[in-house]
Amino acid sequence: MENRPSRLTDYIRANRALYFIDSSNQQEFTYTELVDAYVVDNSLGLLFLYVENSMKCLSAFFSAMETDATVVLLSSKLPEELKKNLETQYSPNIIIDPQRHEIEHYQLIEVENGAFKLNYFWQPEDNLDYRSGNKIASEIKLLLSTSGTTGSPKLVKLSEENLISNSESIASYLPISAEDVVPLNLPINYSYGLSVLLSNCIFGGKILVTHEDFLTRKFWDDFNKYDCNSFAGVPINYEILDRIGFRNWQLNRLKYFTQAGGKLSEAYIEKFEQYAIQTQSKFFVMYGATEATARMSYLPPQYLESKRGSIGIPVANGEFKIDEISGELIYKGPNVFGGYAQNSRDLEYWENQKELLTGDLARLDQDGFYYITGRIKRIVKLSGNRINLDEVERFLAEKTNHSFKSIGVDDKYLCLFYLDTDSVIENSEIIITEDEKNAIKKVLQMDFKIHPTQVKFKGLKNVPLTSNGKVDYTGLKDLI
Amino acid sequence: MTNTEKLTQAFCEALMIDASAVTNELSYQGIAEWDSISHMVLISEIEGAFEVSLETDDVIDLSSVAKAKEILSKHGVDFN
Repeated sequence: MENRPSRLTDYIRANRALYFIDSSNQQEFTYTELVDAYVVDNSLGLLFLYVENSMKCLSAFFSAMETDATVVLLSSKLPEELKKNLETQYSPNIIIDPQRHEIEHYQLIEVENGAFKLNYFWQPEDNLDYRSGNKIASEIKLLLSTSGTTGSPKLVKLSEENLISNSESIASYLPISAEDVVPLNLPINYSYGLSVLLSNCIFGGKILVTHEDFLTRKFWDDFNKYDCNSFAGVPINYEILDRIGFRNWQLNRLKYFTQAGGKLSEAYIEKFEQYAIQTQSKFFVMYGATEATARMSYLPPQYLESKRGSIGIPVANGEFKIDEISGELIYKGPNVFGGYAQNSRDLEYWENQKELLTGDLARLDQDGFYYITGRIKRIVKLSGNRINLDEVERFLAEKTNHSFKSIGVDDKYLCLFYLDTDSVIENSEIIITEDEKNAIKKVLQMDFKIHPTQVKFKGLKNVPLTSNGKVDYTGLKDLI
Repeated sequence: MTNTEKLTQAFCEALMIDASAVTNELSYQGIAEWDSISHMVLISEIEGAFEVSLETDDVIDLSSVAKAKEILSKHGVDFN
């Protein structure tokens, strides 16, 4: 049997076409220049890396991936309180965070080498070496949060094999080539953004490192300036692009563009299919989950019209089946994760589960194309963010004096139901003031990234219950 | 209400921030509240408040409070 390298970074090193361009100063780096910048201790243990899409953070990320460390990749924009909560749960041996100037029980180490000076590298204070305490299963290479923005300590365990196999599967259907220039317009701590980065690092050419998003002039100027030929977006990005009249724009070298991170409504798919035809590019509608490293299926562009609304066919090496009883879509493949972690003890083992229960209900048509028909889990996607409704309810129960029941309405907004009549004292009204409502909207925006306009309140006389005494969420939906 | 007050109010409502935070320097992505989603809400608020229709270029260029004033001035809104 042929001996395959087991480390992701070996595949990246082998790509001679790979260059990183810094959009902020036009500097170019090879992969070797990036990772040689930091000589990182090989016995790191657990490394917390709070990233933004910058060359320094990429350098830190790949340097860490080159070692035996287990890397937790998180957004540098997380509120400090949530960062602290995560660190309490996991006791990292190293924290890299470009945002904070002080971390309790950690001391700043200056690391300087070559082109990069990393001035945000934190180690536990001398008397607090967590290294001996952290036992980590050897399979666990990377941990990602299922939602890019909330500070829930629930992380997804991924292995080198997960990352390598999913990158390979993606490159087998996307027209990635060594001549490409790809902008990193999605956060790299988000599984979709990371999949764009890694599949292009192994199979692509140049990577434009930018934190600019679709709503900035610089992003589109750079897109043409550097001859970029692809971009990636979640549904809200496409809705915004449509709103601002993007389809009239001239992108000189556009070859393909992709959509994932939730369901894009068919009207938009049709509009962007037309845009692809008009610009002779290809539009890929895709389906995935962080628990599948990123990608599970894609719709080949030639079927955008005849299979409109379909999540397509499984990626190479993957397969779907639909549970006969529940109707749930189940994915099988080498990119299925090794279980969730809630704290450092959960890092001691890797769950070898070859099947992923997606939580989505699906049907299969006669030509082998899959369609999502509903969800089992109480999860809504608002503007591309996965929001667990049970988590919202628990969170609000802690933060407020009220009990809310929440439902998502058409993935457009969140409706919070509350009792407006006291069940004990007759005819007494419970009022939630506008100020209280605004305060709730504010915390939901901060901690769940739900825009205030996406939150609605509704008072109820009583909460509808199912026959076994549970909250009847379907009944609640009928009250809208 | 002056136009400056109207604009401040549009920012406050779209970004759910205090009027004191609405300074000329406040910029897109400069604070957590001003992300792409609230940017689109902001555009509608501004369009509604000043009865203007903003084009693609305006939506993209409106990257700070100062820029918003500049763009609205082009549409005949006076901030002096």
